[in-house]
Amino acid sequence: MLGRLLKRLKAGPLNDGDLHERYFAFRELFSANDVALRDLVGLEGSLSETQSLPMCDLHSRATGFTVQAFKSIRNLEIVADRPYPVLRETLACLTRRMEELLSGGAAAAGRETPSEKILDVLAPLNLTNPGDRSFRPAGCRTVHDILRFCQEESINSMFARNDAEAVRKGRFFQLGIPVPLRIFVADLGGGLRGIEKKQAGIEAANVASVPFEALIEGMTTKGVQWAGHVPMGIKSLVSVFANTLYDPVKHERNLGARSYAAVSERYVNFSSRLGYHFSTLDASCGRKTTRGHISFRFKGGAASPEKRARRAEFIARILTAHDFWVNRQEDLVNANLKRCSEQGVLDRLVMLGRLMGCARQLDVAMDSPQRVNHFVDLFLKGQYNFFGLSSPS
Amino acid sequence: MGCPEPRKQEKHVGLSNRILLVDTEGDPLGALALEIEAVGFHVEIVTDGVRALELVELVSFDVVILEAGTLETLRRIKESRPETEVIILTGCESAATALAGMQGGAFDYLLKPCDSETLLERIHMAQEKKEIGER
Repeated sequence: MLGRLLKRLKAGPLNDGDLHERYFAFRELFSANDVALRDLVGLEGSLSETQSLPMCDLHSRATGFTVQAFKSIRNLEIVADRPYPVLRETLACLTRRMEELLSGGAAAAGRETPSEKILDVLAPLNLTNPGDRSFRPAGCRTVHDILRFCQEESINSMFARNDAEAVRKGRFFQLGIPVPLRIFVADLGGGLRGIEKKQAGIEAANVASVPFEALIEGMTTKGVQWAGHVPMGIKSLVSVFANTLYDPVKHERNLGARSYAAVSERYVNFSSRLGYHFSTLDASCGRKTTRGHISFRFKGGAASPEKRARRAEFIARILTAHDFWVNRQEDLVNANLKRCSEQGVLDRLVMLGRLMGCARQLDVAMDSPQRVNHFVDLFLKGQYNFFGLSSPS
Repeated sequence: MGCPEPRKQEKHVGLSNRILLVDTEGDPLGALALEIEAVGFHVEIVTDGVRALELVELVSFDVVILEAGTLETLRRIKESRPETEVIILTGCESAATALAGMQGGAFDYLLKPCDSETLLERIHMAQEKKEIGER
């Protein structure tokens, strides 16, 4: 992300449309990976039970994986702003191989059924270590490798590899607000004000971006519980963190948690990669128009898949109650709001700032489905301090 | 269903909320169209590629949903209206055909049976992509 941003900043103000396109591609890439990996798990599960699947089913699955892998490559090319011909060629080869296997025209040593042969083309993961020399397009041997490479490469492209350099050059500013996030802000034009030469850090007063101001207002709302320990009374913590107190602030700091905001006067894109979960928000609002939009995506967590899914359900229900169109799959939430008035966008950004804080460590507390109802009720009543702890000052 | 057919080509900017369903497989797509209309879209259904191309020339659709065997139609739609997003919705097709469709510029390639929730999500995302491209 920084390389491209720095290049563009040298050339003049960044084009909001260009950033929109990259963030959209980033979301689409993750969506394609989610679908493919979920289907891969499903395929492996089915084969462990039956050893073989009907040919039409295999054709459909091979087609589905091919499509998702292609989408991953195409979106990576947008995010990274460069072509990946080797990935495209590898996918074409793997697709041909699957077609041959499905038509019975190719032999695969040691494998009995077409299902198992197809699984060999799809499932093995050879690219396990991003630091390894083989972690490159030419190292991809299976569809799973392509998906893994695209995901890792896109994250590297979107998130800065060298924060310090960007801050030193005055391109990014670290925002100091009372939340436990390291937020770096890039001004795309009219998004910041009152910046002195050689200034590295900024405060909320320096933010001139109308939608980002609203988001900060929500994030810093009194009572929203960003920091502190989750009480030991919540039994699920024991299973996750082996009888120790879970300090998410320390944990995220250790994991190098960073958040990025790209802002202009009427636009904000906010991305957080907080250890085990990841969220992106993209919003714009125009003066006296109904062309405003918000898109929000949330995925991941540190707890079990059931608890992560319950947190995602909590988020989905809050967003639905605020008129978002929401799609939830397991621990992934995709939400959109389109054609909204300026005030409508700003009100919901305040709400989203609160929601991000409240949801941040909630997965470990989601012991039962009833807890989802409980937390949804509290949030909708404006009670954001779910665990009765003091909010950050 | 049944948005009025204009006499001259529409402007290429902005969202029209119009969806074109190209039903070349003879499947009953009426129920699907109703579900798409229920969330605020105008849906037009045609049963052959030639009619689809005629309509695309005249009307600015946000998304065209094509059925199988329509790679040539896809190519000509993208040639005529590059800003229009195309979703291919098909039955048991080969992976190679799917790859060709995606390489030909389809936004997505969905397999039947496809639930309306998934299809609507992809329509919304295709619309968002179109909107971003026009900013």
